[in-house]
Amino acid sequence: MNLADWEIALLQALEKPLPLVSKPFEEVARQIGIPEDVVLERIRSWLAQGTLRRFGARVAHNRIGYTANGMSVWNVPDEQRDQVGQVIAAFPEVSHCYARPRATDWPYNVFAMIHGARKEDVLDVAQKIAQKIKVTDYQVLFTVRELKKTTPQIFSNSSYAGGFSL
Amino acid sequence: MSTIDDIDRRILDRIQQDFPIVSRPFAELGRHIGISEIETITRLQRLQEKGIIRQIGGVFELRQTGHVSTLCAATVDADHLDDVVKVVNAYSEVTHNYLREHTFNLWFTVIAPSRQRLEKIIEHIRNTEGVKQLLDLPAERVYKIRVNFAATIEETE
Repeated sequence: MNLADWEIALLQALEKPLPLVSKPFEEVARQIGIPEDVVLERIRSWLAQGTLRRFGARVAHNRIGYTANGMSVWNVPDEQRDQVGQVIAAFPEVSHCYARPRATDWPYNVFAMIHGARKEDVLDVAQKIAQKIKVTDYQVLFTVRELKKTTPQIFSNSSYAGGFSL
Repeated sequence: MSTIDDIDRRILDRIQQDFPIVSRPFAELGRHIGISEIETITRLQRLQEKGIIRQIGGVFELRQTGHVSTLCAATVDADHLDDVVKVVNAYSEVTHNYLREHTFNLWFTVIAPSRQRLEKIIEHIRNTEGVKQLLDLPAERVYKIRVNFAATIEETE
């Protein structure tokens, strides 16, 4: 089903910061020119369908005590990859965990972001993971500098041609 | 570091997951925490101004919207680093970019509406002066994506 213009306008509006007013969805609805009820109903159904993974605040985790984060990368035997990936993902200090391809000069196939208050905490967690999964070939890459961090504007992007369906 | 109090922490814990999709969400949020609608809004404005809240909004499931994404790792000459960063960051499709301690020193994520567009961006960056090597590492499996962080731990620094 292709999207109507108002639906695309709503997708774009939801990528922008929600106005901090008493009735924010009414404000969004007014800008698009549709009733508030339609906005509320559509957000709920996109959440139910999984089109919206979630609706809520994005918090700068480095501003609420998680000042250290390290990208841990693991060289896991292919046949154990998915099982090990699940084990790593279960650590509460791990926020994101993915399998990615190996490449030239890059033997690591499982990636996990580890967060902690200090660098040593992150390294401790990595060591605990290593013991649990019995993988010795791993590295933790710390951030030297955050060069860009933006909220994805996937529907408002100039290169977005439109015409996709949900 | 800016200080946030217990009420702020409770607001932060709540609105990362359970933002009420109702006509007056801040009244509802406040009710759970025991503060008024206006105080909730005032606190959120302050948290947003301080940069603790990046924004309140939707997070779309890219696999359902036809978008493609990847993580790129690049080895960039120190001499050309600033120029390469300018080229990379100029793309609105690049959402995150980090300098990391490694031979692969530049790590960035790209989200594009099509594979074709994604590859065009990667090829341009790969051919930029100073980029010695560039890996395209799209996720093959997702084991975990957690976006909420408990705000109830002690602040350091």
